Amino acid sequence: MPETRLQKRLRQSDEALSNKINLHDSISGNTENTIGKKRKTTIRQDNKKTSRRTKEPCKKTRKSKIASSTNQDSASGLQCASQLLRLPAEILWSIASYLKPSELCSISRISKAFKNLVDMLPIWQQICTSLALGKPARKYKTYYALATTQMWRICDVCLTRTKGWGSDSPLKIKDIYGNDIGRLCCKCRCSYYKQNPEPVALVWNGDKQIDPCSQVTKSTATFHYKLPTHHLSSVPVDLVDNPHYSNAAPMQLYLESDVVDAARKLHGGDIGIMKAREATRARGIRMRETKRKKIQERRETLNKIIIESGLEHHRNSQVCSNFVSGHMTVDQLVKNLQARERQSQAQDSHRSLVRKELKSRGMPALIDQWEIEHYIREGNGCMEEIIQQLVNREHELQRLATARDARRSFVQKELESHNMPTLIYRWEIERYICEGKGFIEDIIRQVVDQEHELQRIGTVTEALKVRLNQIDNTLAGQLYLYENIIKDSSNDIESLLATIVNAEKDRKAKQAYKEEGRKVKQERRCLLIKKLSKQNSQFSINDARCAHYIAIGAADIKMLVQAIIDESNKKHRTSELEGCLMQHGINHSTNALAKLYIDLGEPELDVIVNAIIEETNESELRRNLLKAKLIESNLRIPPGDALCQEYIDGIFKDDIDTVVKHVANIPYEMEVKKTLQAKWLSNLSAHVFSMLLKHATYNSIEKWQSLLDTDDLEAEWIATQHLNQIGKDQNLPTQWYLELSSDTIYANAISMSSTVFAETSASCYSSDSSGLDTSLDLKTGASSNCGINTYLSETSSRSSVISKGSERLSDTLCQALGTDWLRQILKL
Amino acid sequence: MVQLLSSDNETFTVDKQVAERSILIKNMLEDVGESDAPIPLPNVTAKILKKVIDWCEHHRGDPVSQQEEINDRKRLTEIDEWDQKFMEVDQETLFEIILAANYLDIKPLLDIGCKTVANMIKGKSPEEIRRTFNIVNDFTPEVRQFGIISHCYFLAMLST
Repeated sequence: MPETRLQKRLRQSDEALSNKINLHDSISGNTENTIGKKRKTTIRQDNKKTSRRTKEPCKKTRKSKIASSTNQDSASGLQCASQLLRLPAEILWSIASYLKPSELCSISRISKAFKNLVDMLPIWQQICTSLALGKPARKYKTYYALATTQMWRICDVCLTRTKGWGSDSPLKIKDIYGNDIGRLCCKCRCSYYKQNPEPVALVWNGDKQIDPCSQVTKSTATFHYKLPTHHLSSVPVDLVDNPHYSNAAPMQLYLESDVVDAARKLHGGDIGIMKAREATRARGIRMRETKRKKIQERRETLNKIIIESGLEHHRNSQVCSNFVSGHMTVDQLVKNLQARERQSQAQDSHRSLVRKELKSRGMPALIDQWEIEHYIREGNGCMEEIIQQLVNREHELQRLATARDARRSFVQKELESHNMPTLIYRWEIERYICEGKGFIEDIIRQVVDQEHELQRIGTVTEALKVRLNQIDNTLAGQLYLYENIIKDSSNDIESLLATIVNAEKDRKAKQAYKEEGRKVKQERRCLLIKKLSKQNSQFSINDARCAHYIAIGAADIKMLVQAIIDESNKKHRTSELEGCLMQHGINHSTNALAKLYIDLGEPELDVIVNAIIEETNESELRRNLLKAKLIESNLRIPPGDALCQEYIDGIFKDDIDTVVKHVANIPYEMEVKKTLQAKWLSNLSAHVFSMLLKHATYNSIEKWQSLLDTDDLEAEWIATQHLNQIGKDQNLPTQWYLELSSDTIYANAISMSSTVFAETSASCYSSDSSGLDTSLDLKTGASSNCGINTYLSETSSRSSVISKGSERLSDTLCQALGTDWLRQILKL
Repeated sequence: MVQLLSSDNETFTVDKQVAERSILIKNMLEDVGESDAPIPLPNVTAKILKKVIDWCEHHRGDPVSQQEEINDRKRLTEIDEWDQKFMEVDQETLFEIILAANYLDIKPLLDIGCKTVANMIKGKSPEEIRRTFNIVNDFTPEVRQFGIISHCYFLAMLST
């Protein structure tokens, strides 16, 4: 029997399939048995199906011509299909090797033959192995079936598995010609777009055109472009004042093109950004849907419980809302609903009792009063008392209302007698009706008089308007300006007209004068601005001189402009100089050279800066010298003193002693010195001295030496005697003690005289823990005077040094000096 | 010069260098040696042989490419412009050329043919591919339904 075309095709198809299987087996010798079994099964099934199919067309051909034609079409199609399938397996594999996994998945759905072809490709085993998907088993019998379970997460290029969410999922991209590149993961997309950059995103954002210079806020960058904060840190940012809240943190503005670039790098191109947005939106929708479902479930549960418990009337209660929104469990809901039921039963009983009581007293409307409502709700208090109070109040209100009505009817009659019934709405009358205060006759008289006066003014105004319309139309419209004149005038229209016309003339004259003044001011202002702008200087209304000139004009404008320019130049020079000197850590404010430069602008900035730097070094030396000299005389450098400053700056070239004398003669400095001494000494108690003597030693020669410069002659004499004795013992020349080095702490003590002694004592005392409070008192007491405070701060450092040696005074000092000397010290 | 005899007994005289683009002919020439007898190519028709010779003429001086591995997934499907035009033929001719290239063992031509077919498949849905190559969908309705469901699931997973 000759072979039909269809049978031939099927035979060829089977042969090709078996060829492929054989080839596959020969290539991958280690193929799993399961696959082999599957293939064999497939072949057998195919054979069965083909055999079935072989019969079917024959039957149909016999049955109808239409079916026959269809079969012929399909047969021709199959013939063409056989052309592709007729290709040897290795060629088909070669073709398949040019296709990406996602495309292979697609072609596997063409027909069984293609499915088998794709099924046998070694790429699936490679994917399964690299992704550790395991081996084919019962559920997924081939590597292809196993790999396709994860296909939506696998990148076509690197064949790795992604998270499969948002931009981190493989996305299908196309090249600029519209050809498919495949489904690429974020990393592969990034590398692709690195080689093939996307066009500048001018119209990227939907319909919105992105201006390359436009800026976006941080919120927009994070929300719209899905850029996390840590990724934004690499994007250049502009900090701008918050436009809504001046005290809030500054606004962070990013260049939109920078943000787009960063987002593209993070999400792998525009498609990635879109996907990230979609994913976020989808997640939001899913969450809302889940929430809605949960609420629906809870609502159903609630309905069930309510029906079972018979608590239908509590359906809309807050408890039910809490349960539905998930803030309550089922048990809690039942308990709460039952409690509510009990409560509502109690309220109903209260309500019925109250209603009954009010009905018996003939006042059922009082049920709406809040006291009753409160009683019904809470059940607190005595019902009878509450109702009694309400009834009393109601009676009182009724009495007041009756009185009010009586007053109203009386007032109405009175007003009708005056033929003015509408005046009952005047506030004075209303007050009388409500409160009953005052005499109604007087009130009515006043109100009636006022009404008459108003009527008179109205009449006069109308008459005036008629007259003014004849003279001046504009004035007729401005009569409201002369209400007071009309009010105080008589009914003589002509005289009133004359007064108003004169008043109008005066008003216009004043207005013209003001206008003129304004114009003059404006002219002055323009002139000033012009002059200043010519000199490249800015006009400022806050400048008092400018404001004064504009207001009064009493100044030479040339001089004013010059002064403003000079000041502006000075400011400019000051800021320049400050900037330069700040770099060298020099404060220019006290420097004469700096002042010279600021005032005159000469010499050049570099020259003056260098000179100031040199000068400052010299000035520092002179300052130290003067300070030392003044300390010797128990003085300090007075703050802001011109002579001292000139000496320090090197302008005052005279002897330093002149400066010291000058400082010593400054009255407030002397006052400071005296106040300080008094302060110190007043705080030195006998306890201080006892502690001083207790801790001191007598072995020090310097201590005796310190006594030489005291004002106490007796102490000086004793000290001299002791020192001479020591000199004799040591074979030292006469008055050897005067030549001793003063580099020790006691040299300071000699120069500082009694004040230093007081300091020594105080510091010695402060070294003892029991005297700490006194020491603190001294400091706080001194802080009340600024000068003293400065002095204290200077001397406190010295005191701390002196205190180290002062402990060496011993009890023998007290014995040697005797009580008279100690008395002298105490007097001092 | 070498003479090639097609299956329909048409003889083509080509330069030896051109003919040796085919590994089959090259081996035959090596085996047979210098001979004036035409080399019979029973699996290639004259029409296809002419096309193949044209291709070999054009690629006469091309270096012999390295053998590529079949599993290399990163192979590009880009085709040279001339080759692209060369392959702009009907499907039957295309498959004939592929088969001829396979028979004559002309690897570059075979690759170009495979690439052309791959490009025809790329970016198309199964239905479009069926229409392009006149393939009948022989899946049972159940399998089709399952395929559609799987595809929908795949799309749904993509959209998450």
